[in-house]
Amino acid sequence: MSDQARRKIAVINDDPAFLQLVNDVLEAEGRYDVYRFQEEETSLAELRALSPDLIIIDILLAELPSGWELALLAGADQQLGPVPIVVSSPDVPGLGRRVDELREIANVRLLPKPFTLDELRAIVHETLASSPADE
Amino acid sequence: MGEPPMATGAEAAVRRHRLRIRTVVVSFTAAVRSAHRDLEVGAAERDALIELWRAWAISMLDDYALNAKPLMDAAGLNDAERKALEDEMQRGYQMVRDA
Repeated sequence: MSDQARRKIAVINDDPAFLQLVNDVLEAEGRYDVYRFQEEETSLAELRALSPDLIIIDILLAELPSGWELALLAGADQQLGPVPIVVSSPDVPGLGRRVDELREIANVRLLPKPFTLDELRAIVHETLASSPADE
Repeated sequence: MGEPPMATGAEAAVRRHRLRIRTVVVSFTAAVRSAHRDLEVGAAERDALIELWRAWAISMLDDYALNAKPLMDAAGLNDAERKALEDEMQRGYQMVRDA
């Protein structure tokens, strides 16, 4: 597979084991380049510079702004706005009540934690399939 | 000649098996950690949810354990490699029980 066909995925989380896992699962697919970001150290400028095809972010509602603010900013950003966002959270009902705010400005899907390998792979495949690569 | 060839498909299946175990364990422990910090529910409801997740994680590991032997046979793993994979599974169970 050519480098052109590889998709860039930014994974933002404060848990090194989680970041490593997502990296290993998606890199094993052979068609993604995974870029890991520690949540509290991630800036919009870094995401712009990467220009990812997909952002996977963990959102803790009790620790706003962190991931939530970053997702909102990315969704509202001219460059990052079209980039789909997969939000990972154990609190899908709680997040679902607020995610409408995010859905107004971004293409958002929810990945409930915990999850299986197949669920992680499927949401990434489906989200990227609905978001064609740039020319 | 060198080492006997291992079927690529079988080798990939063992790697995938390892990743399946890790995904359940790491996503479960991450969910538990997040739940303690974040869930917008009371402690009793949160603990009940965690126990549901724990039962789910153990049932997934049970399923993977059932599939392990044919995978190891197909990949031609030696005794040490089998022991390493079984130890990995047991560590996964332990992490799920302890989280």
